[in-house]
Amino acid sequence: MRTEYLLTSQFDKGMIFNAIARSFVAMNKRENAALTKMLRVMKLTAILFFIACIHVSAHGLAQDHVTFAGRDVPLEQVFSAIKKQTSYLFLYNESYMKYARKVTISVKNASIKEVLDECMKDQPFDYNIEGKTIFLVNKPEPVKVKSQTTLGNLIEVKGRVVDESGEPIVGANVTIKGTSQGTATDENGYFSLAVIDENAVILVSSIGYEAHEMRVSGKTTLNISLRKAINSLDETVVIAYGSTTKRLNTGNVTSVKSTEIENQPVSNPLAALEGRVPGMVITQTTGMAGGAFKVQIRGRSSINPQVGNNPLYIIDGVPYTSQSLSNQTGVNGGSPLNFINPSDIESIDVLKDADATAIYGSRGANGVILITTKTAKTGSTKVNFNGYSGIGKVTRTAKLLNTQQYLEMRHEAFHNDAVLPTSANAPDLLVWDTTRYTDWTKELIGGTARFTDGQISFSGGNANTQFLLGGGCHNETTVFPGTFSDKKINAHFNIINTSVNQRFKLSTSGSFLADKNNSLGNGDPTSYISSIAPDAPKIYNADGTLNWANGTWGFNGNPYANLLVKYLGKTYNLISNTLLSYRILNGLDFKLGLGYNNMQYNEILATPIAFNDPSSGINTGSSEFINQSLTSFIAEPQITYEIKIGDGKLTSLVGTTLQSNTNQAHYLFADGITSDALLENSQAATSLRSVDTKSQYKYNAIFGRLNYVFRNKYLLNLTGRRDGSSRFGPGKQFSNFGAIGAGWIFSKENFIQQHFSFLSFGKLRASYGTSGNDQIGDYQFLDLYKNSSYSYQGLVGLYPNNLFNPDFAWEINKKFELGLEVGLIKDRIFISLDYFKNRSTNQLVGYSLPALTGFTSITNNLAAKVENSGIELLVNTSNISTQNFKWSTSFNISIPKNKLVEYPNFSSSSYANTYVIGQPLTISKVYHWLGVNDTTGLYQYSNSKGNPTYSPTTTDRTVIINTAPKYYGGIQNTFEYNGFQLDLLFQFVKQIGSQYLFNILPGSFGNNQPISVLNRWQNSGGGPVNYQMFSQKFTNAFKEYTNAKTSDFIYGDASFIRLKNVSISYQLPKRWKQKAHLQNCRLYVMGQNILTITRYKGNDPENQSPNNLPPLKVLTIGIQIGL
Amino acid sequence: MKVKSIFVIIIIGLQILGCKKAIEIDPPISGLVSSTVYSSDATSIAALTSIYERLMGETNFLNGTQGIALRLGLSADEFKLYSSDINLSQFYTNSLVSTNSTFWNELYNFVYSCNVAIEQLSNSTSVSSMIKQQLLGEAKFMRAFFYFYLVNIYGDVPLLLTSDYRINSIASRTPKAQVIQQMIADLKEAQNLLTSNYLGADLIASTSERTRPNKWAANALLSRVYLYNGDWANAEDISSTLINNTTMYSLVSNLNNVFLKNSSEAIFQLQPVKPSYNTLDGNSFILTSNPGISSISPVSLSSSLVGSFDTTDLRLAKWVGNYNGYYYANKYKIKGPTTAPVSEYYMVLRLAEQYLIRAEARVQQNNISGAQSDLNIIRSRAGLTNTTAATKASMLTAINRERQLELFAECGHRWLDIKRTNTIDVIMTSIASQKGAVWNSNMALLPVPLDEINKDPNLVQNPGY
Repeated sequence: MRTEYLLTSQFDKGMIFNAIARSFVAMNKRENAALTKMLRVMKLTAILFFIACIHVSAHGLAQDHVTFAGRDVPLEQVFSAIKKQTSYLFLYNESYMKYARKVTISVKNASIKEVLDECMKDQPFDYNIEGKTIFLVNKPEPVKVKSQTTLGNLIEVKGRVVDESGEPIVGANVTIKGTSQGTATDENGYFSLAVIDENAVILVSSIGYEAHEMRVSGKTTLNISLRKAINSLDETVVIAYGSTTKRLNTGNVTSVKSTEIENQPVSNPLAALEGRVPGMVITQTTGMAGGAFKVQIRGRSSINPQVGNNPLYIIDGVPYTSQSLSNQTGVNGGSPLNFINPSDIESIDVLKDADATAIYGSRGANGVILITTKTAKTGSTKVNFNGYSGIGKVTRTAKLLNTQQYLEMRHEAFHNDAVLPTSANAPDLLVWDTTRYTDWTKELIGGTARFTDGQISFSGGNANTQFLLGGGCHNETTVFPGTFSDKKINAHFNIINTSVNQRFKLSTSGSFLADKNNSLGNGDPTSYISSIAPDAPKIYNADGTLNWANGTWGFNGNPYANLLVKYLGKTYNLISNTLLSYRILNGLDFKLGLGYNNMQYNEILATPIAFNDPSSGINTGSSEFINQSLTSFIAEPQITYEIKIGDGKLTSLVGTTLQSNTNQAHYLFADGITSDALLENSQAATSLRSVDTKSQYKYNAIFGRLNYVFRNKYLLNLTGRRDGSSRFGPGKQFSNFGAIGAGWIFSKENFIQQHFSFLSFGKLRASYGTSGNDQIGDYQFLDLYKNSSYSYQGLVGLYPNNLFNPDFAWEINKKFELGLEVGLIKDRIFISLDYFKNRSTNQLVGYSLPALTGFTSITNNLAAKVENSGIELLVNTSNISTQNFKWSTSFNISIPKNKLVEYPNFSSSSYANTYVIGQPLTISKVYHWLGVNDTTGLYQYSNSKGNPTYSPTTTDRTVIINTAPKYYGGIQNTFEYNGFQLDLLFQFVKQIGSQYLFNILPGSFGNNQPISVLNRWQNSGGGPVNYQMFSQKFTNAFKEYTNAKTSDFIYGDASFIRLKNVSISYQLPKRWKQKAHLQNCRLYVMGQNILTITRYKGNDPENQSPNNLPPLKVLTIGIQIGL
Repeated sequence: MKVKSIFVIIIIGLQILGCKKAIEIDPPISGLVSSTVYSSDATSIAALTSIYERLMGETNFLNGTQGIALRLGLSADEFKLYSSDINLSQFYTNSLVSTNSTFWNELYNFVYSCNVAIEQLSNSTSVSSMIKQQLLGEAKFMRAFFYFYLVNIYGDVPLLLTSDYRINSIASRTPKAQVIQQMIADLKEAQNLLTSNYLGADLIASTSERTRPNKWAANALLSRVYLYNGDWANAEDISSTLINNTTMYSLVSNLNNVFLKNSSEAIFQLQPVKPSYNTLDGNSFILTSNPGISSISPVSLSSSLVGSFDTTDLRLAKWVGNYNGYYYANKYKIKGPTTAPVSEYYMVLRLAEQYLIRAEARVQQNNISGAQSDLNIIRSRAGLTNTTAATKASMLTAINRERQLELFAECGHRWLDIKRTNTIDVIMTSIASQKGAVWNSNMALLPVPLDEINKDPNLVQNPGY
């Protein structure tokens, strides 16, 4: 048992008690590993003294008169003088000193009694002298009103600290306010404090929770519940190979917690990050289930637009692919994060600056996203169920011409072209029923998608072993006509075992997700909408077969034929990791992280017989079978060492990474299948063709980190990594990366505390370092020939696959960051302001080449320098915080800047006509549009000399359009009232984008147009118009239409403000829950993309495409139950 | 101190672990490294074979709706377009926009393959000399073949003779004459390097299949290049060698059999490779429904072409089909997927053209009677009487007309002929107005793809684009 009494060892140096006391404190804090053994012996000795609950002091001199003078001196100082000058000893409970008042006294050779009487007259306690010992005692008179200054009886208090859901909080600090007396809670949240004042105030604090004060008021059992800290500086922040707190972090890390992720009805965790992370742009490229997200942290650094600048994803220590292997069309490549269940995630930490990312060396240049899944917690077994169900519809669609307007356009086009419509060139005017009208937008993407999600988890465990087991399913359908769905089943587990002596710890977890995506094989039907006339014939004949309308549908045929092409994709994703750690000595730990990831894709793309127009003569179906696997192993042995040096703490880490990825694919193309029922059987094919590929990637590194925190005030962090990768040719495989980060918590300085008391926290931090980029394919340094698809003369050919360059080397990204973090009014306002400047050099890119070299690119290093700089601001405020009502706000904004700084021999490079030195990489060089010529009815452009032309050439591209966001961010408000909680997240982006002003040549057959084209030229003198004359010929008007697409005409404001997420929840009152024996019961409504405010002229300003499904707005209701 | 030494040991340990072995990988299974390819006979042959395979398989240059026969035929006066496909419309109305990269990219990719083959084979010591000689000949022949289309479609084009992208990526346009000289040089070398018989895939055994270029194929292309270049004497000489080689080549009397595989008229054919298909030209030309209904058959023969045939012309009866009043090119007879074995090969070079080359070369050298006899050989096979043309001018007109009728819907002959004979402006002005377009002389050259202009700072665009 630990005693709660501490020595008030204000005594002479060298006193044994003093030494023991100090050592004991030190040992308890485990700060001095070297002394542990000695301390263990001393502990017993010390305890004997402590049990006595006394403070003994002695002095060799026998003299009973005291001389002392002092103004407003602490009482202890007087005691100290008495002890020095006399042979008296003091014995008292330390807590008396807490209430002691300062004294003003001036005595010369006074007696002990005189001195003590003088000192004690205003004190809330009294004294007794027995022999040579002076005791402090309570004042004898009964207290009428208990006040803070009144001392009560000494009692023993026991209690338990739990969180809001009743889970025990381990290691919470329980201290008596105003003293250094205290203890920590054990594995089950229990604590006890012996012999404290019955009126004491207990202060309970734990990292990640709001501190809580409680008056003992004589109670001997205290149950304390801590609220999760909303904006705590001491919240855990996950960093590379470990964790830290926001307070002590020298790097730039933004954390998004499970509470925020769970509030959003999304199936891809990336969708939950939009608008929340400063410096990160996430764009949903399509609303189709499984669709791709474009993720960019702090701008584009690669000259080549084909290079994705994807961040590095690490899930529980296992590197995860940033590219999906899916062959589904219409999802823009898909997203691998789609195979991670958002509800399994505890936190997503986005690492941005050099300090945070350099330890990832060659892979950290584009930022790092650390995903941490939920772990097991101690406590009695808990069951948690969460389920929601809802609907989704596309956010926005552009308005297209109706039949009448369309027919008018077509007639006018023929008139303008002086061509007579015939049944061959104008079936829409002469053959079809021109009274028909179909809103193809509504027909093809106007449906309602349904969402259902259910998750259940079990967790619990004792001090040594904890477990978490969870599982669930998710189902979503589409807005397309037909029965398409994306179904997921997921499971997650985590087991933690700690040995009794706490030295050995094992944590293992696994996530498995099986996805069955029954989707369209011929892409996104959104792209068909604009290529069907509004008066198009019926889709189906009376007998239910597709109506081919004698081939008058036009080039694309009956759009519903495309819906018959099936995509059936099954994806299995297993991620598992194990972390073993062993404490060799106090402070010295050995860790071994092992990870395994296996993604398996089984896909079938089946084209049925009915897909073909019967007149084509094709009366067989075909299928494509694709089996792919991506297997990744990682082993990371590490050693960490913590030591107290001076007033600071040094933490060091050294480790190594061994990683191996294997990617294998088998494609089988089956043609000539005579029955739709056999489409999934390759044996039914009359011809088969197959392609096999396999690639391997191996990676090996040594890394280290030194972190020194001095007086919790000065922070220094050094990281380094030496990397080797198989993606580089001989002699280029290894390289070094490193960073330095420093922080100064200036709010801890005295002069700040004295003069700026409103400043509750202030930190200045800076970092500089390098990281690399390895986002090139495998084997790029080899000059490879691949097999041709078919055989010729019975021989399979071999042909060059790429241009090769054996000498390319690492790309280096130098990052500089300066950050200021300020907490005001007890951190109720928290501001984080960052400035960064990253420079990417020695760019490793697929260098664009003219096709006449044989290929359009080669992997190469460019001496180009690209700079990304910017300012990021994050403000969290707690606006109102009362017992019943709470309102907090979080606001973030990022202002990025991108610049091509340098490029040797730029004018002779293949980018000379694409980029401009000093301008961003996101520019387009376009013609200046001069409007419609009133005489010809055609667009005109300005040539480089400013004169109007109909045939602008490359040199006339004088206008520079930058489509990167000017600024972007989000603002979240959270309101809590009794059991209700309302969260609103608005996302905003200020940008210029390509507007959807027209589709393929307005006036041409079958191409419906946005209504904006109606403002067109009809005859000369008809007043100013935006749109040139309608035409159905691919001649002059077509040429000007094509030029218009490369002019400033089509660009416009694509800014938007979007109510990204809304969540209203109601936590049932405690007594209801108790009646129902529920720990937790929450009802909620969640919505995503609910409202969009924009002037954008196309479908959706986020994905800016008339051919990709706009993101969906989703509304769900759900319930969360905890047992 | 103890701690320090532990660290030292760990760091040394890590350095050992961090060795090259840990990042050694298996070679990819999907391909071979080029030095390996050109180190053995079999893989070197496979590298050249891939050119023929890809011409018929993965690439579009010779294939169906994307191929030169259909597209250049649309640009000229051979076809009428029924599809609303924008790309085809641009060819049909001679209004290509510069973003169109049809032909260029593929042709230069093939040129690269040829250049690598020539470089690697020249340096290779492990390929047996006979194989090496034959493959070098094939590579040079094919390089000339691709340049033939490049110069005749685009005018001056960069003449690239190396695979080095550092040189090629900044290449500027080479005068057409210089490109032609290189073609002639390549073909002359090919003439010497190639065997006179046709070889199978092992390049040792002779075969009846005329699916790899031989000496005669080199001659056939060479005589065409001489003709295009106005080198009449050489054109006549070379075409004569083919016409005189009667043991190997003779006109097939039954017009229905000219385009069959191993036709005695064939000098160089390509074997279709796509399963269950014969030639993709046959597949897209032959109509089994109204043109334009399916994207596979977007065109019919133009009325001006069909109207040019004499009613007694057997080629009208046998090479022109009729579906529902729409005429179509029926040189190849097989459309669509079929389970029957492949019987038609893609005709690249055939003897009839050599007669027409010699006829024209002879007229230009004022050998009217020699020209008449060559022309009449072609006419008589088509069931026509002897030509009545007797002057140089009328003979040239007669030969041009005969070329139009004999070589229609084949490899873009018509487009190249009207350009070569400088009749394009006259012909196209009237044809364009029939198509509802306006002709402009600059349209005779296709635009260099805009991407190329953007990426190669030394490349200039053709006028008008």
